[in-house]
Amino acid sequence: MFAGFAVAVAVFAAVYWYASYDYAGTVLLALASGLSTVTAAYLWWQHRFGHVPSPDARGAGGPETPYLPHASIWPFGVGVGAFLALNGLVLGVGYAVPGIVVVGASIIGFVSQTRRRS
Amino acid sequence: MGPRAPGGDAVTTLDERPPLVDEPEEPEPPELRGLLAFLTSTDHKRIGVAYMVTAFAFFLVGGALAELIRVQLYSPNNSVVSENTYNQLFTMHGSIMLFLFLGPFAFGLANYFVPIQIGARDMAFPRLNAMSYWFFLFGGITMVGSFFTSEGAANFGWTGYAPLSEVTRSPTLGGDLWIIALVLTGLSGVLTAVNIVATVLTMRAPGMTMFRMPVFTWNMLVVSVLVLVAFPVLTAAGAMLFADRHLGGHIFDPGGGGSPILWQHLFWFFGHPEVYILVLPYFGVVTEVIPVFSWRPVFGYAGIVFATISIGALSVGVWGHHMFVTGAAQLSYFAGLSMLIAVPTGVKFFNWIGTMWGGRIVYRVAMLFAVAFMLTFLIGGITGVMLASAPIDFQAHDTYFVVAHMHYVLFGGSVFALFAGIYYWFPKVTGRRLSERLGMLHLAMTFVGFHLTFLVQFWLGLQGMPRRVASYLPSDGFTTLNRVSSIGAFLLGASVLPFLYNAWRSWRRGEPAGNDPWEAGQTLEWATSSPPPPHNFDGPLPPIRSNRPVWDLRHAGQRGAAVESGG
Repeated sequence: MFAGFAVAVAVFAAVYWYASYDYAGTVLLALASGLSTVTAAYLWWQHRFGHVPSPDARGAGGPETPYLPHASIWPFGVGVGAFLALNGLVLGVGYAVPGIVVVGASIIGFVSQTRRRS
Repeated sequence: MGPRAPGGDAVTTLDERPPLVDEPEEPEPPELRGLLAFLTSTDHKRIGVAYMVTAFAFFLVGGALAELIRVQLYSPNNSVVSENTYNQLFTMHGSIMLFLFLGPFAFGLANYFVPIQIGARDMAFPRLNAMSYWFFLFGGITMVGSFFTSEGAANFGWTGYAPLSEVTRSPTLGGDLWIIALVLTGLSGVLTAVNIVATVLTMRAPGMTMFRMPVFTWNMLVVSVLVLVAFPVLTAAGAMLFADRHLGGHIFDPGGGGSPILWQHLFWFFGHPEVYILVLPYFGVVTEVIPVFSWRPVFGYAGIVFATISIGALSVGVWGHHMFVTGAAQLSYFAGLSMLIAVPTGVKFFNWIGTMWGGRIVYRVAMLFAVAFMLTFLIGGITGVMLASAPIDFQAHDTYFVVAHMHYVLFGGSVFALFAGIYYWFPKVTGRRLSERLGMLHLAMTFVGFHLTFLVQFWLGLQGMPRRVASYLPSDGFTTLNRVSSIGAFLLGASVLPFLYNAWRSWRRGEPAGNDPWEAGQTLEWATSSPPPPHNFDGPLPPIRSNRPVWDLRHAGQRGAAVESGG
C-alpha cells in the first residue's frame, strides 16, 4: 500500500511539475512520495528478511500474546511535560524549565519500564 | 521497545537480554482505581472512550461558539459581539471542530474497535497510545485556554493565512497558543497513526488477511497513512510561522522576501488530506452499519477498499483547489484531479446502495443516521464538484456557498455518520442499549435543524454574502435567509439535548445489550461480550474465513453463509 501510494504521488508530482513549474507543490509531492517509499522499503525488508509470518501461516489458536505493559504513569508525565514545555515557549521559563524536567524524567521512566520487561 | 511480532522476534531490537536461570516472576501490581486508574491506563478501550468523551466535550464547546455566531448574524448590523470577538468565534469554532472533535473522535473509535475487529488484544504500542491521548487533551486545553488570555483567542481563521497570522497583524498570545495546540494535537495524531498502522500490519489474528478485514479498519489504515503524510507538513508550517512571529523569520513575510502563498501551499497540502482524514473514518462507520441493518454482506467489498485507497491517494494531490483565486494554482491540473475524486466516492455510494438493495432493512436509529448521512453528503459532495470547477470557484470562493458545502460534507457527512456509529456501537461499549425513541427525536431534530441551517447558505453565498463577516447591511437582502439559518441553528443546538439525556440515562440503567444486540453482527466485535473483557476475547476466536466471521459462525447452516465474500 505504501509503495502504491508512493508511485501514485510520484505521478502526481511529475504531472504537476510539467503543468505548473511550481517548486513548493512539487517538492511537497516529491517528499511525500520519497518518504512513503522509505516506509514501503522498510516493510518489504521486514517481510523478506525478517520473521513476520502471515496470519494464515500462524495457524489456528488465536493471536500470539504480545507485550502488554502494566498501567503506566509515564505517558501522562510526557504529556504534562510537553504541555508545559511548549507553552513555556510563549509563557516563559517558569513553565518551560519544569516542563523539560518532567518530560525528561518521564522518558527515563518510560524506557526503564520497557527495559525491566524486555 | 514495543511488543514482539508474532513468531517471537522483536520488531526492532538493539540487543537480546539472555534469560536468567532462576529469573523471579514480576509481581502483579495492585489494581488501581479512580483517577489514578484513568491517568495510568494503557487499555485501548479506556483510551478510546476517553478520546470520544473528550472530543464530544469539545464538540459542545465548538457548537456553543457556533450558536453565538448565529445569534450575531440573526439581524443586520447586529452588535451582540464585537468584530474582534466574532473573528475569534469563527476561528475557534473551526479549529475546535476540525482539530479537537472530528479527528480525535475517529481516533477514539479506531482505538476501541480496530484491535477488536482484527482479533488483537490491544494496540501495538499501548503506552504510546496513552501518550497520544494526553497530547490531544493538553493540546485541546491549550487551544480552548487561549480564550482566557487577556486579548483572547486566535482570530485569523482556522486556516491561519499569512500575513494576517504574522505578529504584525496578530500580536496576541492567542495566536501563539493556537500554533502550540496544533503541534500537540498533530503529534497526537501522528503517534496514533503509527500505532494503527503497526497494529493492523502485525497483530491480525490467524486467518485475518488484509482482504478479510472490516472496512472500518481498512479506512482507518488509509486515514493513518494520510495523517503520516499531512500532519508533519502542518507542524512544519506552524514552526515556520512561530519563527516568523518570534525568532525574526520572514518566511511568509513579503516585506522580508518571504511568500504568504507558501503558507497556503503548506497549509492546504495538509488541509485537503485533513478533510479526508475527517470523513473517511465515518465512511467506514457507515460501511459497518449498513450491512448489519440490511442483513446482507457489504456489496463490492474489494471495490470499496480500492475506492478508499484511491480517495486517499488523490486527496494528496488536489490542495490547490483551495487556492484557485490566488492566481498561484495551476487551474486545469487541480480542477481535473479534484473532479476525479468524485469517481471513487461514487463507487462507495453505489456500493452502499447495492448493499441495501434487496436486503431486509431494519429501521433503527443507527441505520437512519446512515441514510441521512448518504442524503446529506451527496449534496455536499456534488457542491464540492461544482467548486472544483475554477470558474464557479472564482464566484463562490470566500462566500457562504463554501461554508454550506463544507458543513454539508463535514457535519452532514461526518457527524451524521458519527452518530450512526454511536447508536450502533454504544451497546458494545457500555453493555446497555440506547433508547430508540429518544434516538428518533435526536435524529429528527438534527436532520431538520441541519438542513434549515445550511441549505439556505448555498443561496446566501450565490447572492454574494461573504464568509467571515461579523455583520451585513439591511440593504444587502441577506436578512431573511440568515434568520432562517439562525433558527435552524438553534434547533440543531437543541438537538444534542435528547442525545445527551439518552446517553446518560442508558449508560446508568439502559436495557442490557448482550453480545450482539442487533442479531446481525458480522465482524469480530460482536463475538465478544458487551463490554469486552480485558484483552478483548475470553477463549478462542471464531474461525476467520471471510470478511464477516461472526455472521458465518451464526449462520453456518444457512445457504451461502460459508461462501467467502471477497476474502
